[in-house]
Amino acid sequence: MGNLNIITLILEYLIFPGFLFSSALGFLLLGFRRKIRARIQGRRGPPIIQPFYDFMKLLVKEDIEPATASKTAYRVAPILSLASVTFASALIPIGYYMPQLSFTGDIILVFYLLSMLVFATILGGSSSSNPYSAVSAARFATMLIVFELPLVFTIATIAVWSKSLMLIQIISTKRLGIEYAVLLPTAIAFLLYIMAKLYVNPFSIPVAETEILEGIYVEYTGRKLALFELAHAIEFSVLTSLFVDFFIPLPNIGLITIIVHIILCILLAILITFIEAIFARIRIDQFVKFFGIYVNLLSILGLVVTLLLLGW
Amino acid sequence: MSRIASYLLKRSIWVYHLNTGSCNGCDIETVAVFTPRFDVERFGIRLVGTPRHADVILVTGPVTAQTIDKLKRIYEQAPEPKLVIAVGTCACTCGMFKGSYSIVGPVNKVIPVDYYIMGCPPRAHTILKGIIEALSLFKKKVMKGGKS
Repeated sequence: MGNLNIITLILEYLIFPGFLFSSALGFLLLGFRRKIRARIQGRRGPPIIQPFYDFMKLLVKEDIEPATASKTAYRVAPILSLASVTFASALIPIGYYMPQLSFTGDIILVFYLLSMLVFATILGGSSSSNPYSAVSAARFATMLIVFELPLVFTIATIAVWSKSLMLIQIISTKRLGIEYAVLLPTAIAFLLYIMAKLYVNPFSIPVAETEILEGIYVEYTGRKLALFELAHAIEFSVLTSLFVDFFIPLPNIGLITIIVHIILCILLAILITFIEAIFARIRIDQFVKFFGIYVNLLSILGLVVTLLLLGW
Repeated sequence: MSRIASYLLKRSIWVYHLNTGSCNGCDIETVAVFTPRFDVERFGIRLVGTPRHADVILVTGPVTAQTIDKLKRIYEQAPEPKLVIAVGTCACTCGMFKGSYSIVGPVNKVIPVDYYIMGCPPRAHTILKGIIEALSLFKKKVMKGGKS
């Protein structure tokens, strides 16, 4: 690990755990999400690659910048969100594949990169000088205060449980056993965190289409909106991969583990879709109460139980 | 390149619905198109809330003196390539409101209209069929625009 191979590094960043793989997986997950939601509602639903069509179509559309927007922030925000989430995707092991960049403490870097994504989105929303975007950015900022805490506690719990801060070691110390039930509260808290981060339905407060018209993205058109969509797809794949890495033990059988990992990501996306389809949107104050008290308590409980049972 | 662009534009259609002084009859029918019963999502059609995301603008109602500026502004806010579809007799020809003191005229007097759906109000099936038929016009738009 001391000397990095530059070509492998670039390939990793652009192709396998990084950009190409995770965007493909992300679009697949988004497509499954739309399809399953349609089936739950008794509709046929769009083709699985519909999110990809949407993304490609946005690339051929005209790119308009509102005259009153703060230009620099408006242009930087989509690039920043895509860059941070792509970097995060290059750090996350798929199956047992170990990325070259992984180092002790990369789990903390992933946490920072995922927060960076939210900051970029808020930056884009507040710079586009639209009242709906401003409301949406304020809501997202309020959510950010509350929902990052479960992630911190999840990382702490996982670090205590596997006695490591390195993602690849966390994966390899996972083994099925009775002590695995200790992670259950943390897993539920992390699932709720994923749903809040992806703003799917009970927590779709920042992009509420029926209230504030997709909020942050109101003024974005063409290429810039496409970059946001791409970042969202990669984020979906990163978060589900992280869930599988944290909580589901898999044996190391090379390529098969990677395929099982992808299938588990799809199953997780289907679970999220089920929860999304049966709940209505909650208000921001309900969200703060629910997440700030109950979900945080759940994740703290997970940490305390793990500390007591497994020692320091 | 323009072939790919027109193919993509046919696959993913984001529709913005605009009322320029309609009696609400066409709006009820237009909104009915986007309900789960007709399931427009299988064609990739989605109702969006902002003209910035629009590929197709559905205009209902004759243009009144109050809405003319807003109609022009919303048309300019939508990114190219875009289609404007006039839904209902009033949007196409002013219908029974022709000659009223508060009516400027049909939609094509204010902004260029690509496709007309007649009816008072047109049935939801007709509107859906009209949207899907109008998509072939994107090809011409993309060719003419030269930019893709």
